[in-house]
Amino acid sequence: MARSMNKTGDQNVEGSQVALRDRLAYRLIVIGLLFLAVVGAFFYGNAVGTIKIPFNRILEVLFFDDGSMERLTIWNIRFPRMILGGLVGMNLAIAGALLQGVMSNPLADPSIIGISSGAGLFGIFILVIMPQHMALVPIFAFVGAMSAAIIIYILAWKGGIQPTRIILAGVAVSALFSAGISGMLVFYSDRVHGALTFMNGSLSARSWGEVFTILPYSVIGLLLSLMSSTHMNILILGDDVARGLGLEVEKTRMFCTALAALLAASAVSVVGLLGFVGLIVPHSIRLLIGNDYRFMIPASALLGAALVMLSDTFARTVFSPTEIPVGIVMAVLGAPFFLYLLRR
Amino acid sequence: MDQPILTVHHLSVAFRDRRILHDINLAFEKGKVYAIIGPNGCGKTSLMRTLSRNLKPSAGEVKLRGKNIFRLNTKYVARHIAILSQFNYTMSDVNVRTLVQYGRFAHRKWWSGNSAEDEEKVDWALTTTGMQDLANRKLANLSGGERQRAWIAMSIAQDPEILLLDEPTTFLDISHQLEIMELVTKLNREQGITIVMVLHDINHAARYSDELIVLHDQSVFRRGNPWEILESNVLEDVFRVQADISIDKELGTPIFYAKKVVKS
Amino acid sequence: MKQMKLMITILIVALIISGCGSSTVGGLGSTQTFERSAEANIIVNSDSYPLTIIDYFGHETVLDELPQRIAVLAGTPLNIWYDVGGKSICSSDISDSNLKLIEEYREEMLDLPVVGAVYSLDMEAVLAQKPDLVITQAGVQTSETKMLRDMNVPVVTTLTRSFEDVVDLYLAFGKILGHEELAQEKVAKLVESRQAIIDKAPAEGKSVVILYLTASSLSVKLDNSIAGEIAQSLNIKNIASDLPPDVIGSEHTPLDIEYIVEQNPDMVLVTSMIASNELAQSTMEQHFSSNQAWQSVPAVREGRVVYLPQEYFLYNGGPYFAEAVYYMAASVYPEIYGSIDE
Repeated sequence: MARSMNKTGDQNVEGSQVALRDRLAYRLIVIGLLFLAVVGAFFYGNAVGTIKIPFNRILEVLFFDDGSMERLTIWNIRFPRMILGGLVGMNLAIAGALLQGVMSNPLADPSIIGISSGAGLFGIFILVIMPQHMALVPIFAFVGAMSAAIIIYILAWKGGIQPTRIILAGVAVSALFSAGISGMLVFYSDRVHGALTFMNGSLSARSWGEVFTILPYSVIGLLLSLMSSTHMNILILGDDVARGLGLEVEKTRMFCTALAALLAASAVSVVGLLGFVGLIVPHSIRLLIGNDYRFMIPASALLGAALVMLSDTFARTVFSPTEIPVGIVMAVLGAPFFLYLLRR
Repeated sequence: MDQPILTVHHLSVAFRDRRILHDINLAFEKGKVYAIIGPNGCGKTSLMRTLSRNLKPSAGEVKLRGKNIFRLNTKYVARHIAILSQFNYTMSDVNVRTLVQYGRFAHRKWWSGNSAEDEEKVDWALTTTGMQDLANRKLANLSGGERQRAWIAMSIAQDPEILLLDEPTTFLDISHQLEIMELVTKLNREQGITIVMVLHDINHAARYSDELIVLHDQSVFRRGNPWEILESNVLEDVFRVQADISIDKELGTPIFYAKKVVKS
Repeated sequence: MKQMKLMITILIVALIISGCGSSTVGGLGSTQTFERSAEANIIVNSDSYPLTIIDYFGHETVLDELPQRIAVLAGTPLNIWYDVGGKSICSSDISDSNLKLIEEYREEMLDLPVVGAVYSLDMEAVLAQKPDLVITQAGVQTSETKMLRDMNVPVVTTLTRSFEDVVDLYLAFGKILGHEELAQEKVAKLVESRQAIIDKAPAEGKSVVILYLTASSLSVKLDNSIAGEIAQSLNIKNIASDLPPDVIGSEHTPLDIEYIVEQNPDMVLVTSMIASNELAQSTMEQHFSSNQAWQSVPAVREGRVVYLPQEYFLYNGGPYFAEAVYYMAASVYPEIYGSIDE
């Protein structure tokens, strides 16, 4: 890729040569800054909390296990919580980016169109009938997420993907599955004990177990998404054009939808239903560096991770020791930023 | 030069109870220019979409060199047939060069970038369509004619034998319309690309094509060279107008001038 | 593009609003909030008919004579009602095995016609019973109470959180039924047994955190909850004492686990809405043992966890209040009260 771009830069007229290089450099700088943001958010989150730990002490207990309360706090509480927040943010942001592309709709995000609710419902269902097997939850959540996606496609298909119909179908499916979840919680409240995980979007008291549950899905999801960048770029040119160029449109759409479902479902399995990230992050990235999925996937992953980590940190420190739901903090942080970008 | 490379056999397309195409039989020979004309709703776009595999037949076949295109590998077909659709709305914000580079997708593995040969083709496509100076502009920042040329550049970067064009000039200014038609002619003459285009303007069809295919009521009404078609009553029956036919003295092609509406 | 921007803006606003809404912590009664009018308990203003009853909301109900058809629509008030010799014509769904009904009248109470779950009454079924007086529970049945009032059905709303509430109910019900002596007797016995337990509590008590677990959330109970009040009476220090509730009038709040680690309570008490006490216990035990964050709390790591049964701590024990107090006392201070396996 870089090779071909350099060639162009050399061949063309001066004006266009400068513009192209600026673009690429700009995008790389933005990604670099986002990476720094992630690192910064991670360290910041580890540094603050209800228990006050001075910075040098943090470094100490990171490397030496002296059994102190600080060591336990950093290793068992903050460290895994920050990692989990980062992975969840990454998953949801990438899922949103993919869904907005395959559904040709800028409002598509896992929660709005019901993919997260589908994941939640099936996850709760499996907890009701097979409560001992918590490791199965992400898999069933994935089945639920894919079911929701397929229902949406069936409802919205009319000679092709119609963006407006997709959103309407998605909202309907979301309402349906959410009602299902509420119903389950009411009628089977005595059996849904494992639904500790289906708190509405909370990282409270999460530890390494949840991190290792989501980690394989995050890694696989990220890798496959990066590898699908070119397919996505061609898909968003339009179904007819894409087919004409030689892309297997249906397969690509199904694959990328499944990928988004996998990412969203694994996130839902460990922290519950968390909206907003999948909608806001890809849009912000799009407004910053454009629609090329080769850059949008990694950039969204980074911004999503940073956003959730920061939001969660605020959520547990601003009214310490009371925690407020992460979703609210994210809305408060994210909405003004997004509105600002819209006005640009 | 006479064997048809793209053939259509008893092609019918229906959606629920609605008839979209009915028993279409056509043969396209290599190196020729074909224009498909007909009133709105006759099935022109649907035919193009079926030829480009965007619509599935309910009966009949479309064959590329004797092989059913719906059974062939997608990339293989893309290396032979390229399509320019009528509406190209996209959420992508690519610049022209990147768009044209996508044209090479069918020629390479998805994981590899463009090779030197690919880049040569891209440069050639840009130069042929006169877009080399606009290569770094975003699609959205181009005029109608420029944008159309960019899409054509992408199509020819695919290095196709057959280029399908669905109303390539309908929304363009007159000068841009002529530019596109001249470009299409050049591609046919210099590269030997078989052209199949749907045209709205009968005179463009008459002037720039070797054969006219008239569609009416979702079927092929008549085929023939421009003079045959214009001098007969075909267009009167199909378009319901009485017309004067004259001749372009320089080119020797017929000119169609509609005079009066014919009440049916 | 403009339309899209408008749509997106509306969507964001909707998301924010719905995000705020979802902060309610699950559980019976926690979504309803109310203000207690002054220090008013349920007051009956004279010793014989006609009576004026002033309930927790300050609403007055005048009764000329003892009503024939009385409907008591919540578990704990029903228990107390029967204990004072009263009868009800119907009840909410009390087949839940965790509600400890008085042995003497248990069969009778279970045979009553059911008019819906306590948190979701079937108003038509209630009205079909043609009650002359309805007794409801504040919080969970606030809107049903209003509905009945609007239809001119005499209705009295009760609160059953603290021990004082239980005493007030006994006395008030005694007056209504004309069984004042019986009521006084029951109250005296209850006060005495409770006091006996409390007197043995050490002055400098242990510290605890009271976890509250439902199907959809995890938070801690404050002092105004049943468990919190009982703990207070036993000089047990609730580390969440000074914290604000999640919603005004609520009895819980979500807590950062670091606070629990820092405060290092001597014991962890667990209450839950999960129906089966055994299931609640096994669930939490499994969760605690596999979660490193919880393992950082010394009380959890060292097994100093007590699971509080629903019949005493989710539902107000009512006639069995003293048993509830004893349960907590023996759980927290086995060295003083003997082991909990009584």
